[in-house]
Amino acid sequence: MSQVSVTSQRLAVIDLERRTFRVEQLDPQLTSRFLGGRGLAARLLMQYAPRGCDPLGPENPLIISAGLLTGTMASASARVNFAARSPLTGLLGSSNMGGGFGPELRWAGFEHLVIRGRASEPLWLYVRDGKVEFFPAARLWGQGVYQTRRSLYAEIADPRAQVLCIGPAGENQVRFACIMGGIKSAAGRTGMGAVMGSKNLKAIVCRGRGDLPIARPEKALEYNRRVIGQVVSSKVSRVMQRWGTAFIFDVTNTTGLVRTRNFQYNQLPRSEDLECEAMEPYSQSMAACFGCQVHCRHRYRLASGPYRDFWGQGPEYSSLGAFGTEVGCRSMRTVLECNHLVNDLGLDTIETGSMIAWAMELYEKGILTRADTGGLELGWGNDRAVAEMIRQIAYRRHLGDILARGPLPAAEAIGKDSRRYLIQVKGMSSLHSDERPTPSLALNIAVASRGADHLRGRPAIDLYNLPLDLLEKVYRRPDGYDGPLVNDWTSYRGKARMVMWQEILYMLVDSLGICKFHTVFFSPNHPAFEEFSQLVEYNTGLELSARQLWTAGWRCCVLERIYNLDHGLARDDDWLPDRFFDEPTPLGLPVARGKCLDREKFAAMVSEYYRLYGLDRDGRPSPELLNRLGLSGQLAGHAAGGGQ
Amino acid sequence: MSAAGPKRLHVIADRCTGCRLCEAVCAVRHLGVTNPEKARLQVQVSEDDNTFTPVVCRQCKKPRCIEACPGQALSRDENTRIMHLEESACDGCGKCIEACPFRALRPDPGTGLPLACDLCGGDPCCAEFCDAGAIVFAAARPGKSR
Amino acid sequence: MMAAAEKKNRPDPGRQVRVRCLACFARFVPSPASDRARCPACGLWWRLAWVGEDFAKIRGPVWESFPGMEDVDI
Repeated sequence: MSQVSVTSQRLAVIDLERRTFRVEQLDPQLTSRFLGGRGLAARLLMQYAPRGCDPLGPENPLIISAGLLTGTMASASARVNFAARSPLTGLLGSSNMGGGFGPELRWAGFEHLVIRGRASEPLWLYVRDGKVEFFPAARLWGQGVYQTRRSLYAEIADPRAQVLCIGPAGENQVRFACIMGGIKSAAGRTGMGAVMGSKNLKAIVCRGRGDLPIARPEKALEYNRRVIGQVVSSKVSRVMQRWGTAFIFDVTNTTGLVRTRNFQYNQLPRSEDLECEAMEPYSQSMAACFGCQVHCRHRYRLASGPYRDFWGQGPEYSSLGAFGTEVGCRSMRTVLECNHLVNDLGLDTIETGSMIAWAMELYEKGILTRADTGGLELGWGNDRAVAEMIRQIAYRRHLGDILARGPLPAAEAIGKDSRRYLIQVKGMSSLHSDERPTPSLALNIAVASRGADHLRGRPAIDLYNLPLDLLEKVYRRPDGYDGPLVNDWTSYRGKARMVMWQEILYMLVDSLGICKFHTVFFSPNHPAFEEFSQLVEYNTGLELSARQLWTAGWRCCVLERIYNLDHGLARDDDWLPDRFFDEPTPLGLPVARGKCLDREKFAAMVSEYYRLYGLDRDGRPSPELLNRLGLSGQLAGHAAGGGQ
Repeated sequence: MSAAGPKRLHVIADRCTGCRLCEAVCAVRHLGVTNPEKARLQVQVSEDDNTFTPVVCRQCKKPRCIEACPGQALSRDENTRIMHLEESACDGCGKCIEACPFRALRPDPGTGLPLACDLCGGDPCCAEFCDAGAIVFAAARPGKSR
Repeated sequence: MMAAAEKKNRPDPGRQVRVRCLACFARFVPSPASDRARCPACGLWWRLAWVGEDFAKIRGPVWESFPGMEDVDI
């Protein structure tokens, strides 16, 4: 097995057709320029995915990348990234998960797996101690995630191995199928599970016994302990330790920032059973990803129903919207059962809930009828219909077969006026958050590199109306930004900076393999560029200043944009559906009520965002920017050349 | 030392969240690497079965591991219960590992020598990093409820 | 010396519990262990949840008193 080096990362290129693999060491320069995880994955995607390849064809690689700090014991360094051309959007496919797979991959001797081709029959891979083995998976094909895991653990008889797999949704190439790593960890967005399914690849089992050297162990231990203390001492971490991300619901539903009945309301009144506290009767205790002291996952088991023999974890905030407010349901029990369903079938929670909510609105409007739904009554708040629709999507039955194609192809298939009711950007649906009253959050989903997505650049602390000096302390670093900043979340002013700053920060943590709950997401006092600079130095020995990390994050963000531009992205795609501008919010607190976005002001915000990044008015990188970020030449040739 | 006796590692399994940070920091403290196989403790985790159990050296009153060592390579300070492995005297026979009734002692996969817990010299980092309180270093076992 | 776990999130009985009104952002002090509180600044009623003795958070509104709900039927 090759030696670990902090500057040279190890990559296995796996050929599913020939059932062979070869190991490469990456050019050490790539590490300081693209770090690892999501950033370096974008770079590898440029290299390994032929431009314009069929997302579900054998030439689209599935790239699995551990973060630069993954497995090091730095605060919550669990994450692993998945990249391919997205079968959902045709643009960048990119999704990451926590759990235990990322660290195990590194102990097994790899930072990256590039999986190419298509197996002639279902396979699973066993990645261990520097080797990749190929095993038939015909008998696993068709099994849900939970059963697949049980089968594989029984077969390998090694409880310390980590299992990634797809469920029936991935096998059936539902365009928003996810990859599951554990019973809860998911690479949910952009359809990475469909890519895995298209390759006839059911699972990847990983087990490693190799060392991951820590550059300065004593300093690293001391500093890691300090950073963990910084994270767990915040109030929001205390809340998450007890209730998980579901705590957000209490604030956003109260305020009126929650998509309800698809997009008709911005609040679900009297939904006490969806509040995070309503989880307490179900929750046995909490679970954590590798190395995390925030442990935001409930461990629960339902006393009855099809999943009574299975433990579940969660639910996330996203599930409360997907199987609660969006579809008009008010039951935690329903949320928990649907959480089981999507995790077992291998579906992205957010996309699934959004597609069902959209179908319900079409049903209400008469655009869909019972003839389309296989007799299913798709009324708001019909809990059983939601669960049944999830199954229909995973198994591609009736209307489910159309919804399984994702928002834009589904609207095309249904026709009529259906498209105007979609809540999507770039072909990917949004979280159940309603951004009409919050320009900064709206900009975040409009410009995110993988479609409507809160985890790419959400300035969530904007909602806190923080004292201006605190806001400035956060958002002026590390590059000395001296433009406007405003601590009023209804304002459009200075928000482009916040979104850009968060995008670069989230790119950084996604590339380091650290969880967003351990950075400036819900708390302004959590670690950011300065702390990560120290963590990188003590754990890997790589000396990168806060400013250099900022530039690396910026470089990776622009690289993702280049990939999207290469695949047809235009300025119009950094935009929101008309409903955000035309339909004022009907509910909520006075501060959120009667609000919709202003097209002119929003367009100005997009332009400001481009300007701050160094993009031209069409959102394309200028030659100066490419030069400055070292992205000129071959990579940038596609985009800078003017959309060949 | 207090009247309560020496401090020991206590496990309160129902507090364990399965993060395995203890495994990581243990190997870093002793060997400068993360590698759960080389940690002096192990967390048995199964999400599917909802198992989250740290297995640690308990600094037993009557240490079977030390008694079983034919070469006197394993010893400990009876005041602090800090264990010491004299590597030059250990041939990796594995008798100590077999003797541990809690299966807390394991061999280093590289050298074959037992990974004996030395309590990090008196301030064990597993407990220091376990904010959930599943591993506690104290003379007496703390109350279970939190 | 206290174990790390014992030090963490140690309740601070001396600290005054304050919550922030989600409507007007004013901070106010709820009575200990109460499950409801009224914002003295804007008058809205809130349901509370307690993270610890020293830490309360707003769980949600008292819907009956929430503004503008008269004609809402969803």
